[in-house]
Amino acid sequence: MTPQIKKSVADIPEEPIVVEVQAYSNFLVTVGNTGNKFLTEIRDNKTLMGIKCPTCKKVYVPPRLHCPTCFAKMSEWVKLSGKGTLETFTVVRYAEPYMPKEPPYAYGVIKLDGASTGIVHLIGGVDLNKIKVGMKMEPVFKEQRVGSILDIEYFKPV
Amino acid sequence: MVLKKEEPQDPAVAFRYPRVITYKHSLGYQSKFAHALKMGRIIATKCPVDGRCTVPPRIVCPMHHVRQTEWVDQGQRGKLISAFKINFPMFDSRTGDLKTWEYPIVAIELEGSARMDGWCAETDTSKLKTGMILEAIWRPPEERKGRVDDILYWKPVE
Repeated sequence: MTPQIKKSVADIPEEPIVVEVQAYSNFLVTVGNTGNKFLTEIRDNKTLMGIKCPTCKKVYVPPRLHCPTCFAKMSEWVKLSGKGTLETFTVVRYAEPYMPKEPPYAYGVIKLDGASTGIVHLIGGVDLNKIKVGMKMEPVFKEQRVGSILDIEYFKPV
Repeated sequence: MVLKKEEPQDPAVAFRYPRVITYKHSLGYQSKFAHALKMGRIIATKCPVDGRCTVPPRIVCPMHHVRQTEWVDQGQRGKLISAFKINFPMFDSRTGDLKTWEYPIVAIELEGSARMDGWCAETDTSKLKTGMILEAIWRPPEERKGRVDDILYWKPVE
């Protein structure tokens, strides 16, 4: 290969550059058989379902196929009332991309009656300054439901 | 070529999760490299120990861990080190699309001794031989952004 004559680099600027880059992702997430049953029960019957481990007897919401504690395969579905106790919460007061709603809003962990785990969801129907740990909560379902966790609009105090 | 297949439309089966993250970062030392790319030139930093050049440029030699601040023009041509072609559909990480890949990816040793990779215009891999000379084909000057993909592809020199 005939080498090119080397050019001087002195004429190339050195001014610092700041770049703005956009990273895109558009993942397709499949919910699986277990997730499908959970979401279709919410959509079709406004019912929250848990799944029970045959070995350690824990009831998980949202449901999953294998127990994370003892790895047993779970298949026993448990119908829950949907009511529960607020275990913890946070109030969001500033906007970030991809938030479920405009701030200020609150979301928390609700331990449903009959379940061993909590479910994270939005809290509404209450003054944000009056939310307290230990409040009894119940779900408020949307009129138009599509099979999404957001078919539950929020949990409100009973 | 992008391959399209039917997607489930029921969110209780699968759902899309589109996200766009915008972030800014300063190129710092590599700003000179970006300016050179906009000018249609490839430059690299040279190690004072063994004289090897690095593309993209680095301020510290990855082999000898010494500061390398001498900039060297790498010319417009290089010799083919290796090439590979993806012969099955694979996801494009930039778009999430499943597509076929017509063009091979080549690793090139530039005239200034730096190595870089890029797309190759020759789709028949039987015509690619190590040591053959390739030259850079650039985007039009007004479309360059100071990124490595300002080099559209590498073309064998007749």
